[in-house]
Amino acid sequence: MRIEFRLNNEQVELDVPASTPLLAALRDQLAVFGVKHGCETGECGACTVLIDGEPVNSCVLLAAQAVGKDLQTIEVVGQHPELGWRRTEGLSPIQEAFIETGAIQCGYCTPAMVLAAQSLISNNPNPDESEVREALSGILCRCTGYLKPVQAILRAAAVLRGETPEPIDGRIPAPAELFGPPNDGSPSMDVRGGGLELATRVMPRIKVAPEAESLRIVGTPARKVDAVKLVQGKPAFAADIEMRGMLIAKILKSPLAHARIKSIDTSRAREHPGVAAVLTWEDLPRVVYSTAGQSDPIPGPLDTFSLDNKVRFVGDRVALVAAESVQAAEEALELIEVQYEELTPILDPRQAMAEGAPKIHDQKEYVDFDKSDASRNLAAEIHIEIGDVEKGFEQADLIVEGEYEVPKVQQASIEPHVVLTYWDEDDRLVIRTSTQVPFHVRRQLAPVLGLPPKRIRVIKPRIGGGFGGKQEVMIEDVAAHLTIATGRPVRFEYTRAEEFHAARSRHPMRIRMKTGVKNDGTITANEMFCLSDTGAYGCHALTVTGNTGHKGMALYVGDGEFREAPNILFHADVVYTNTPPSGAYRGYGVPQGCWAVERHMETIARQLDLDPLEFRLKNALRAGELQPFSTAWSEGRKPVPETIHTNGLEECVAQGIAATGWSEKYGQEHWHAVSGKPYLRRGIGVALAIHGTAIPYLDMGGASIKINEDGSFNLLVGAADLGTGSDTVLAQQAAEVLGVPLDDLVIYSSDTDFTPFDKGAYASSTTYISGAAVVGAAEKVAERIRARAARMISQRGGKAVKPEQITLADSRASAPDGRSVTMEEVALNALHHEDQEQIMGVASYVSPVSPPPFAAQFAEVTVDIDTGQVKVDRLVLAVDAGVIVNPLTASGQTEGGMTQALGYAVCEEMLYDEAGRPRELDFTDYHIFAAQEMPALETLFIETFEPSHPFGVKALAEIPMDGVAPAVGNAVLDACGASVNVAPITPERVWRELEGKS
Amino acid sequence: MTSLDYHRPKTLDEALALLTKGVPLAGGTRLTARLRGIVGLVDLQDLGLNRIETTDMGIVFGGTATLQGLVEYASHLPEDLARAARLEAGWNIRNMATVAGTIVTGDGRSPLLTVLLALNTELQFAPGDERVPLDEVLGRGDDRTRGKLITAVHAVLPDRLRYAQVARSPADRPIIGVAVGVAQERAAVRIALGGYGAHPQLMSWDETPDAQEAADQARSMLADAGDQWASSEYRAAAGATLVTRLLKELDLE
Repeated sequence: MRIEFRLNNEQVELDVPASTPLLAALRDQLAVFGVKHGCETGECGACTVLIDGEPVNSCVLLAAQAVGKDLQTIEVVGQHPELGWRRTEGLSPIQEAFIETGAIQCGYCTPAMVLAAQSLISNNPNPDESEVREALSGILCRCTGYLKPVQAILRAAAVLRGETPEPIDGRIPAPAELFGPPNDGSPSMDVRGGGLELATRVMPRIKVAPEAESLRIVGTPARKVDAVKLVQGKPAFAADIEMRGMLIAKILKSPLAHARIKSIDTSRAREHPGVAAVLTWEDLPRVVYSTAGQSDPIPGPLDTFSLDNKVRFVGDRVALVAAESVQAAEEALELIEVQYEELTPILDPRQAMAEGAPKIHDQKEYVDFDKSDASRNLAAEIHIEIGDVEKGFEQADLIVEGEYEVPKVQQASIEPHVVLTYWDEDDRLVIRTSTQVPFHVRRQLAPVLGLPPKRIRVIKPRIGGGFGGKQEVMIEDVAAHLTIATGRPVRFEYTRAEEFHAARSRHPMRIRMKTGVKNDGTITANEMFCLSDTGAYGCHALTVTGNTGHKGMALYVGDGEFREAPNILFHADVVYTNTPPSGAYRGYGVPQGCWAVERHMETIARQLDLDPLEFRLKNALRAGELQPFSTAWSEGRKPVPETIHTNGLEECVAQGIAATGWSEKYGQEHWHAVSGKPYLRRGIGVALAIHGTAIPYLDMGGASIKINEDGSFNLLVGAADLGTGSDTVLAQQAAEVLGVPLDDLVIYSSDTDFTPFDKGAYASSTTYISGAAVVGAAEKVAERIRARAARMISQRGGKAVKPEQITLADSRASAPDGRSVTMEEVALNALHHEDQEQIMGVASYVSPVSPPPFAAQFAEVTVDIDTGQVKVDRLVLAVDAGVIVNPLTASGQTEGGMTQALGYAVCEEMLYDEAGRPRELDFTDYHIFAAQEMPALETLFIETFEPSHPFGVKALAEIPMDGVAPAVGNAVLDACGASVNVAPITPERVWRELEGKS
Repeated sequence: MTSLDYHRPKTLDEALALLTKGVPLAGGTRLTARLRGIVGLVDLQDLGLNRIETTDMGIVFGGTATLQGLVEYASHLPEDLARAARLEAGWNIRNMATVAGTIVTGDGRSPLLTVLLALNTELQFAPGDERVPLDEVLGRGDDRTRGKLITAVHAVLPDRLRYAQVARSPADRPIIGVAVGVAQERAAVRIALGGYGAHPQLMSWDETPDAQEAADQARSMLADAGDQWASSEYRAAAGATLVTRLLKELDLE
């Protein structure tokens, strides 16, 4: 049908089928890519457009419904202020505020938030915080925790009212003593709207490491280097591209949890109008591989085929279709006739290894890794013994045992998995994909596609969130096979339902703890048995569950003689079931372990009537000690003992106590009661956490830097910024070395043809590993600059100066006596004038250590003791992640991490019925926290200076995931005595504990 | 390929005539993603049915009045009616979804539907201007709506209204939701139980019930309310608790 509407101040006409959603019309026909696809049912809001000034979701609005309306998208909100000789009005105050406050992480939902903010402020110039949160209530963000977007909107409203908000401060000086109650004394923006004081502020509080105080760019809240394009909704993501002749791919999914395919008849589908290709297992080479995006050799079994003659979960692949349109592809799927031989499924991991259990992987091509044993449905087995736990138990005064359970949950990045493939003019296959691991994609797919890696180019554009879900070579093969089959470009994008059907998730686990402890609280032995469910395929089976022990069980070594020689046992069976595969998810096994260990420690402390924090710190790992598991296990490789050099845990606890007012709350009956509501009880809880920083002797990152004629630099990294801000913090480290402003670093990541290798974005490694590589490359460049500058300065007269005397700062190379040349002069000299050379440096880095960050996570809750309903009121994270390169992006990481972890604590859970069909297929049933329901969030950075990194950094990305759930569980226990050992802590689980019905 | 016809009538009569060729399309927030098998859509947006007004009898939502329209009319409404609309969906969807559409497509987990059931809500249909109590429409599938349009939703505003829900998080769908509407001082009471099933369930009394009696009746009605989200045992206990609590808050113990 012919439709017309006004779009961004221009009248547009379209010819579309009446069933076309407005989102599809805007993106596919009008190339309006600022409108994003996140779901098809209107829950996520990434597709927000303004219609007659009001925000609506274009995925659930037909294009026909927009006829006669006035539509606005992000494309006309603002633009770069300088476009060559043309000056523009620049970005809007809302866009500026989003950049300034660090409200943009992956940027996928940013256009929607900016539009919602514009609509709000145009109707209400003086909104209060609750009104701002309500305005964001229709837009889900998985990265930020909403705090900074709320601040951005309040700040923008103030600017638009003609007010001048305080500037965001740079460095925050270390307090003389403890931080004290929230928001006292620390410089911060004080933007108030509608008279409501904000619960929290943009800038986190930081105790700066003395060694880092002299740094100029590292440690500052620099603007994200990708913020300007993201806030404009530029076509920066994988699907934001038009290609002539592009086909749409769809997958026929298995309706059965376990079955053999007896026959497939695709003849009707192949003949269907618009269909270009239909592929089944009979059409493809039978190449077994692993979808886990990991370094070579893959530390796990090879158990996957692009298409197989067996299906292993509801949603598993049966056939692939490429067609001219989504509709044609979906219609073709319905024309494929499949006959299945239904097999008995295994849905309960406890039955996977039972005698006579059906074998999920009975294919002859299966390749074992380590102790995997497909005949027993065992994807991995891990057994680690440190010391002698039996002897330790004998030395204990008390043995405490407990069983704990954690659910399957999904990363739920708002940008779904999406890939686009095409042959380039050299007959090389280009894979433009939303991935955390571009180099692994190239290496791992090559044999699957029958191509050498050199004939594959993987481009990683901006990523709309990953959280581990895109550390997987999961869908790239679908588009690639269809491009090979048809010779045409193919786009394949998961729907939200397909994400829940078939994308990866956190491994659900059942964990049994046994701990020996003396009456004074000394832990004598600690044992964990873990049954981990990898689902239908063993991607990340060994390594995720290994980390459950490696980090989850590493923190509490005991005290006294046990500190010297701890007794720890960790055993895990990682089993196959006929459920969607588990995989990597931020935290990578540690949140599971942390739930069990920290709930267990709370139980022990209470049984011994010990202060829970004193008990924990008495037994906790300290600086100068060995990470106990480093002596015994390293993701299937040879372990090398590692000494902990920095550990700010005790100060994290002290600062957290002060910031939360712990002493006035814990154990204080008057605080627990809620006036006038006897059925409500407050509680406060804590959990401590340890994580890692990269995988030692394995994870490698590379970087290259070259100077340009204006004294700017191109920085190329293979590292994958998936919204974390890693491009920014990497550029900050380069700028610090080179003595130039961040604006003079032009960073690009990543493209397997052009950027150096990097293993990718996982294992909390980028700032540390890739950062060290960037520093190495920058130092090589700086050395060449100093040499040339010394010669240039000497040539200009006066006393000769040596290269080692040259300092780089403020875009100048300066001698001790003040003579200097600009970086531009150095560049022109090198490239055009004298002894011409391209000043550039290439470096890579692999670390011999994995310095752990530490954290103390506090939670406050209110529990309805009649219904079991839990409301989380406040989360405070005090974390030692080494030196903080950028407090804005770093606190964005902690706030977003705590928010994801909050879902893990109370509401996120993926369940399956007796036939293996999922309960959750959208964001209504799979509830993730929205802006209007968030608790107060606060981050305290307690810096240490990690000596193994040039700027003292450690990891930060994952540790915010670890402690929230157990801290909330412990707070619930504190509130009402309900000891809930199964996450998430649902109202019914609390109620059952209170009623003695669990 | 399956084709779909789109119609946007300008008058009610035109719309009614078109119902033989398609189904009504209000906000579309539910329907757009579920077009399989539908051959025609009758878009109601130009019918001028989006009014919201207060009358002597209560409040009238036009057939295409949006949830956000309800929220913005909050100063004329019981607080918990507007709150239920907020709980129903975020701002973007509220700008699109209609009150009538929520009634037609909502299930037992709809906070707004639960609250509307506790009010003495009637649906006005065309043709014929027939007014049918909401509780008679719920659970009848398409029987009461096929070939008709909801032109208005009439809600009798009670003297007092309370809504409470138990959910995993503050903005999550309820596991159990209870709405209590009191039509006259200590007189007619309507209690709706939601959070499960195909639609909320109604309990009503012409005179104020004994709190224990109401709680017991709720417990009885929830005895088979178990599903994947909660057991019937839990729902019965939590539902009875909320009923008792709300009656107490309304001084109806």
